[in-house]
Amino acid sequence: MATSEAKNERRRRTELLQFYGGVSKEDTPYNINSKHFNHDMYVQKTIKESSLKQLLEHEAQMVSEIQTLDSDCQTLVYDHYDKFIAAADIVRKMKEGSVKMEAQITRLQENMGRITASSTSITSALQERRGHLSRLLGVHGTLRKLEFLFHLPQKIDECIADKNFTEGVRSYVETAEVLHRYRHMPSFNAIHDDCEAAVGRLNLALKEQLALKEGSARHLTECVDLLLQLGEPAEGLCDDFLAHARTKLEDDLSNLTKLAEAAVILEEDEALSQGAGEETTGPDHTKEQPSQEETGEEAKLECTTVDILEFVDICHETFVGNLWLVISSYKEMFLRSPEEGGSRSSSVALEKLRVFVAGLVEQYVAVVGVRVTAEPDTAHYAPLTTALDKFHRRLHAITQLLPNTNFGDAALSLVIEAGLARCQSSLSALKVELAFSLGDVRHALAAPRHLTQDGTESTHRQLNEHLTRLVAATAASIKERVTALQAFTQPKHTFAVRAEFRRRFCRELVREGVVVAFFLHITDTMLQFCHKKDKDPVLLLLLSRMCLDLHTSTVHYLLSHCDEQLQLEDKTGLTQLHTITDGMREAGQKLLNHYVHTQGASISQMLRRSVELKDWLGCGEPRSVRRVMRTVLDEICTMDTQVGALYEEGNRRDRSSDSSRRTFHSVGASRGGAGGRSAWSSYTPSQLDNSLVANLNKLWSERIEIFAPVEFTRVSILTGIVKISLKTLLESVRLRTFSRFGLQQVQVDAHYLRTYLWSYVADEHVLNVLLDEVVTSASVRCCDPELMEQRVVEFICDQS
Amino acid sequence: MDDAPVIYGLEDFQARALAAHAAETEKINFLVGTQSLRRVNQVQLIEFDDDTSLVTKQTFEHPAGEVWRIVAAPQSPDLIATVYNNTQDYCGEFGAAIWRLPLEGSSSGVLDDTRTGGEQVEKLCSLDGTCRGDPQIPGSPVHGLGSQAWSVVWAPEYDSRLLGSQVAATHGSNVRAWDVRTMKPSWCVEGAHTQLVSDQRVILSNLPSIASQPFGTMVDQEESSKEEREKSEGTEEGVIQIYDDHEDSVYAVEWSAADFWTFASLSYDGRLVINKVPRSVKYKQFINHEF
Repeated sequence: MATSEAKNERRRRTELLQFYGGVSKEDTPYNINSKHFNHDMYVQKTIKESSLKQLLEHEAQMVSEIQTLDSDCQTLVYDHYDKFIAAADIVRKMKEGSVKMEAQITRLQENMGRITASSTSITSALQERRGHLSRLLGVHGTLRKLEFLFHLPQKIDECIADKNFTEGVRSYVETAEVLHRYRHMPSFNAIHDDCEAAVGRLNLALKEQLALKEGSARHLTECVDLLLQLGEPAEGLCDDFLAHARTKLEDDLSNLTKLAEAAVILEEDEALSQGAGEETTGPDHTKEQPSQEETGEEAKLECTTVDILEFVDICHETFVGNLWLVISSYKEMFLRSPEEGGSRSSSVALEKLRVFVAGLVEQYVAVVGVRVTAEPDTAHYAPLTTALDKFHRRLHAITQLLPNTNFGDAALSLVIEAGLARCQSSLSALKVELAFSLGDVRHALAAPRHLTQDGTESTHRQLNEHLTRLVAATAASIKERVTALQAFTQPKHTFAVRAEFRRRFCRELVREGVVVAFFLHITDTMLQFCHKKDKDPVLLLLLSRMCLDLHTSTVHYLLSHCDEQLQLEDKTGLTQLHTITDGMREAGQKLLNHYVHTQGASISQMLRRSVELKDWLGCGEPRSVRRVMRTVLDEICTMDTQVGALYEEGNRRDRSSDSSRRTFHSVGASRGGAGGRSAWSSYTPSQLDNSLVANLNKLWSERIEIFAPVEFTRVSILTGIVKISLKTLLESVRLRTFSRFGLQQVQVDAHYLRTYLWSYVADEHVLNVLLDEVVTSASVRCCDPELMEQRVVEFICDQS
Repeated sequence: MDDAPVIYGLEDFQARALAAHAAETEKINFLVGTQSLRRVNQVQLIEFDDDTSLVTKQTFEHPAGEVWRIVAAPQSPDLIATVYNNTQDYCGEFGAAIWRLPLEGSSSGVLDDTRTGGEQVEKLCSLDGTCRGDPQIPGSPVHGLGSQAWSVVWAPEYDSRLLGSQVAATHGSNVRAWDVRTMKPSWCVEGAHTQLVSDQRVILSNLPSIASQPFGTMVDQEESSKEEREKSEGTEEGVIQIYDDHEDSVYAVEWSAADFWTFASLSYDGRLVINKVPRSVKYKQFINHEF
């Protein structure tokens, strides 16, 4: 047996070994721990494979291992022996104890038998009484329930009287099922009928409560909830509920409307009283205050003090709060999850709610719109935007409460509308400011006319002051407006974050609608000055310079400032900077041209009259330059001072060659001709026709554009004026007939002008050509053309 | 391509008087009066042949003085009126008169250019403001101009019996009319212009070196030859074309009486330029009139 077990065990072990793949190593005859160990082979292998030293070490190791194994074996044997002895002891003791126990157990069995017998007898004795008792208890419970049922109608009535509807409904709902179940029994039926009657009364009472207008929304909700519990049909009830809620909310709305309209009236009154105040003696606060109070009292309520923030808060407390309550309680009552009340009816109910809310919100938005419109346009928009933000935020919240609605959009469009109104009023305010500052400058220029002739310095200072003030005021007012309007775009406002709003407001309204529109307005205003006849020429000059300043720097600065402030990065579709600056430049150019034409015309007028009114045939030998020429020079000098104050000098064509030729001309004239003819006439024998010479002269000179546009420089402007004046002189001369002395007078005048005008013109050549042509024309129109000696001409001019 | 302008010089005369030959509706004729203080002035009848683009002229002497203004009578090709400045005594007096041109029986055909002094204009009537002994207008702003003729026009009456029967002349600030049939003064409006009738000159003198940009645009045939303006109020406004063939101030532009699309401009240096309205404009006008 033992051998078979051992065999089994061994087999299992080998199987395990095979399974884990340890066989090859473990089962070799060289493994000392293996069952296949062959000591001869091992010894031979060890001897063969190992060196002597290794053998010696191996031997020592083997010896010590053998010793260890021996001692282990001995210990095991001793241990087993001890345990065996102890076990033998215990067995012996147990044999002694078991004899005593047997007797005790037998006695215990006897006692138990006796107890069982007595208990059985007691039970049988009490059996009958217990059954009776339990029946009595049952009857008692039923009776109490019945009593409650009998009293129920009464109790409900009490509840109605006490207005303790909740208690009444609860007690009915608890018992309703029982009553319903036992309705077939006559007595219960009576109770049931009574109950139904009482519940009907309860129902009526609740509906009465519902109809009361003073009831708060919470109270309303309670009533409807109770009615629902009483099994009232939800369909009709939600209509009732909404109808009652509507009256309540419409009350709120009408109150708000009153507030808003009061604000409108107040605003109008204020505007009126302000207008009146301005008409009389400026702002007089002591006078205005009582009048305001009076109007406030007339407008009833103490709404005079309701500013827009308070207004929105009131909206929130009354209408929006109640609406919120109505929606949430409605949802709670009528829109339970689909499993509870059919999905179809709830979707109908939801649709009803949606229509209801949409209608009310529409009215509400309109009312707020009225109030926002009434808000006066101070340049400080923070309260307004905060109010708008609150308004928007709350409507947005309602949207979230009620799916598939979008009141946020309605609110946003109101906000945009408010923004639009502010932008428009900003633009018109800017226009008014511009008109004011232009008017100021005009008055300043018109009033101290004498001061401008004080001297170059003061003229310079004054004109530059005006210019700086004008440009600075314009720039400042634009910046101020943009900054004020930025109240709308502050990220703390929820609406300001919406891309739709940003796009509409920043791009279309502020940038295009205010800044760009104002620049275009400036350009238009400037251009209008070109078409008015009675304008002060200095004003034209100043404005042209302003346009140029705006063109070169100010517009660029302001527009990029605006873009930066509004964080406009995508500039596609926006008005380009250069379209504005180009317009400015064009306006400046037109103003300057207009200035040149006006000034040229005024000098032309003097020259023309002087030529027209003089008797050129009967005049005597010239002794001096005519006075009008000096006046003309004075005028041009004044203009030069004004222009010089505002414009840089500019380039003038190199003078040296021209002047040298001119001197040659004069020298040739004074020496050459026997008759003292100047250069052009020295080539002109009397038999040769003058006009041929004139044509020859023209061949060599470029065509002169008299009304050519001028550049933005002092020299170019003055050249323009001089050209127009001299052309007039030429044309006037051609209309008259001259005697010899008349011609000589023209010669003297022309020389005088040449001597003093050269410093003002860009190209002296132009001056010479025009003046030569004047003298030529005069000599053609002369019956006895004989020029004065150049020396005498110079002498006369020096004398003057 | 538009026709190139025809440029014609007045032989070293200066000139500012130009008129269309109103009674001549067959040929494109213009009348030019010259201005010279030292030579005998002329009235030149210039004919422009549209087909050959050739210019022929007839010259008549105008011994009364330099011509400041010239108008042709609408009823008779040989009647003209001029405002002239008497150069004989250098008194600077302006006068006006009606003249008859000694036209040849057939005014066509190339004339001999050398016959410059051949004919003289024949004076029919002097439109003299002072001959009736009118007092000078008191307060007249310019001495010596009160009785002087400045302007003369033929009455544009289209009644055939009355056609061209009246001539009006401006003397200082008066307007006088003559009946041509009797050559007698018919009526007079005194002080019609409290200011000098000289506004036109302001415009002229202020116009840009007229040489460089003559009046460019003429459009409507309705207003052609009667009122030419620098910018017509025609179908579309704006400059149609700028002609810069002149080098001196242009004082007169006239539509031809015979051809609606031809006009002449005269500059001070005696250069007469005959131009045509650009064809594109012309055709546009036709199209517009069809509808």
